[in-house]
Amino acid sequence: MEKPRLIREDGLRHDGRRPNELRPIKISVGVLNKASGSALVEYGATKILAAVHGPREIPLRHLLLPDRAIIRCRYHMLTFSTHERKSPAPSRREIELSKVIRESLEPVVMTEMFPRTAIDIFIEVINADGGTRTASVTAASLALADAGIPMRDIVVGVAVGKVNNVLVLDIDEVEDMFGEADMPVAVAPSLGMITLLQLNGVLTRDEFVEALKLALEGANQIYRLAREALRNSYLKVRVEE
Amino acid sequence: MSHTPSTDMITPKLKMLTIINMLKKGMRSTGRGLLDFRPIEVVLGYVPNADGSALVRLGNTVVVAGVKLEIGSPYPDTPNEGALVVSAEFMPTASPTFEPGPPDENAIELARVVDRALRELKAIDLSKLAIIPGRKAWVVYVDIYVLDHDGNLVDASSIASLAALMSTYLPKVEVDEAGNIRVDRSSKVSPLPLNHKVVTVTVSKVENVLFVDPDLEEENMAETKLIVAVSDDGRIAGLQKSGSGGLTESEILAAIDIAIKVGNDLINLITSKTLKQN
Amino acid sequence: MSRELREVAVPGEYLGVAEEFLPGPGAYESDYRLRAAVIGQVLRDRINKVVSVRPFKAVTLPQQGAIVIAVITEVREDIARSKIYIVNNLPLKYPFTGILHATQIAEKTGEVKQIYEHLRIGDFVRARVLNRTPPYLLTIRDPKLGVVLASCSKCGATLKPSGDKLTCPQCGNTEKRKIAQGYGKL
Repeated sequence: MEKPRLIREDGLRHDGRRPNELRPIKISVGVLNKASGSALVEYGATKILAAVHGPREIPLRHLLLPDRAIIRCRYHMLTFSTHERKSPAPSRREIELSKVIRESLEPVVMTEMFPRTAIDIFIEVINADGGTRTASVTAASLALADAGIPMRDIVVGVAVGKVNNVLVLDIDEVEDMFGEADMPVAVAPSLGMITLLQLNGVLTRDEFVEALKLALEGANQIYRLAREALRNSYLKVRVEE
Repeated sequence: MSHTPSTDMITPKLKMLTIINMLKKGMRSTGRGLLDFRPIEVVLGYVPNADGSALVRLGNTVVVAGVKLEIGSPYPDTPNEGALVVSAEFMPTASPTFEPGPPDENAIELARVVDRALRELKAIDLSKLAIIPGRKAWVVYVDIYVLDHDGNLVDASSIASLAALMSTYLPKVEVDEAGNIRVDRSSKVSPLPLNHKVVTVTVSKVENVLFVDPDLEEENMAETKLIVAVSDDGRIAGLQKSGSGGLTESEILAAIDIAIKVGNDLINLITSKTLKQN
Repeated sequence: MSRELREVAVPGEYLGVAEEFLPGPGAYESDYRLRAAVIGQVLRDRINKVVSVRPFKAVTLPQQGAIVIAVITEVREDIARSKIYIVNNLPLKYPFTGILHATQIAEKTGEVKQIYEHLRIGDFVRARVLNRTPPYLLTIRDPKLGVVLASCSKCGATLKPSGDKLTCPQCGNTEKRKIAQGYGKL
């Protein structure tokens, strides 16, 4: 891939967005039949499907906890979701992301209501164009809500990047690849709680403060869309009934 | 698949409450303050057969990091540069809960966090590691082994990695006209070129108390932690929230200020310890 | 209530201050604020000062005291294991293990010498849940509880009740079970 001009002369980004502008976001809830809950989330060309099974019993009983449910989470990329074919074997990146995504959801799920059970979250990256982990958090939390699992809040994710010394919201793959920094953030906005924070790159303290502010603003916009999508999916079902 | 871990209930509930109450008063069992690290011991060159190595004791936590330099092909997108590969393993010697086998998600996370900090900061000057530009370059393998686990493995590993890299020397290399490479490991020519130094400072949170360098008991009761990679010029060279909790915006900013200050002190400490031994 | 008046909340939605209401099912309190925990209809009980959210899609699990339908999967000397499929007439999305101890099988204590004489693998039983969390402990010590459908262990045909025993309409085999009142009806 050739490095494009990341910030154009008019101050806009390579795809014509303003620095604080999200990509077009599409959210559908309840897209699968057999799972307890599901959601399909698109940030631009990034497309994530999340499904939730449980609370349920699992064969590996020694994993279960006496006072709450365990959450199991798998972030997984389809082999053709990336430019070069991704090997089907789990990568170190997928293993790490499964962990940080699980840890971004643990604080909001009321696992204490379902002791000795497992809540399983399966995240499939169908098409990857940057921000897959943050879109995954949004999709997974909507799938959990769709499963009827009690939660303190919906968690939404968005990444902020630094490209050509400009902080930009919701970076795509080109900006991730050629930019200077990538900072994925996930937030439970109503609780004011940040549940995922990573930084891949170097920022000064002042840049970080600004980047976090930008991420929280972006997250609030996605939060509005996510709540709307969740509400609409049920209102539609109930009208049809 | 990543799953909720079971926190080993080795620490009895009563003791946990005592530790939490003490933390809230700014006190810790060993008498150190919330922002104090345990005593750090760095033994450079602990592994003579490695190209660089360091054994680090952080209180009762013991980590050994070793550097091996191998000749490899450069990545196509950086044909004139060397490469960096970081891995970590939690040894069964370190804890009854560690099993032999491939690295688990915690070891992978640790290695990737240390890797990102070194890589993004360009801590190692990879542009000086080409041997035959476009064809052959040094690959710097940093391998971290946790030998004894008493909390704060990430910071101990980042300290050990930095110290090991600071003690690494490039061996003598000769390339003849046919392009054959001869390495003489007995003569060390120059130190591994470093642009920057970086360490991680993990800030743990219990209720509303932030503190650094938890021992295992403190770590087991921490709700969450923020790993902050701090560079020698006071910038943030990486972040990772780790653990099943959340942080408010103000907690994150407070954690970063703590990390920048403590990280700077750590880098100075390691530099002086390495200078003495090198 | 008309659709326009229905108040729908999603998880995290602010429902009021904690001084006004207490959180009921589907709601919770955090920092003196009441919020929804599930997507559903907000119900404000102004007399008892309780706000709750009735979920549009609830998680169904066996509850303590619930009547369940389970299939026996294993019979041992002291216990029988089963898979619970139906709870209070509602099918479960995911089956759960139910355990029947020898003391929870016959209506009179000390009557069970061999569980095999009362339950066999593949039997459908109606049982009551004794505890709150998995693995669920079940009882069939009640005339209404016990085997509601069983197959002949010789030929596999569905057994028919005859007196306090079950007989096979196909091969004439007779078998003993702890039969529930209303055998044959799930």
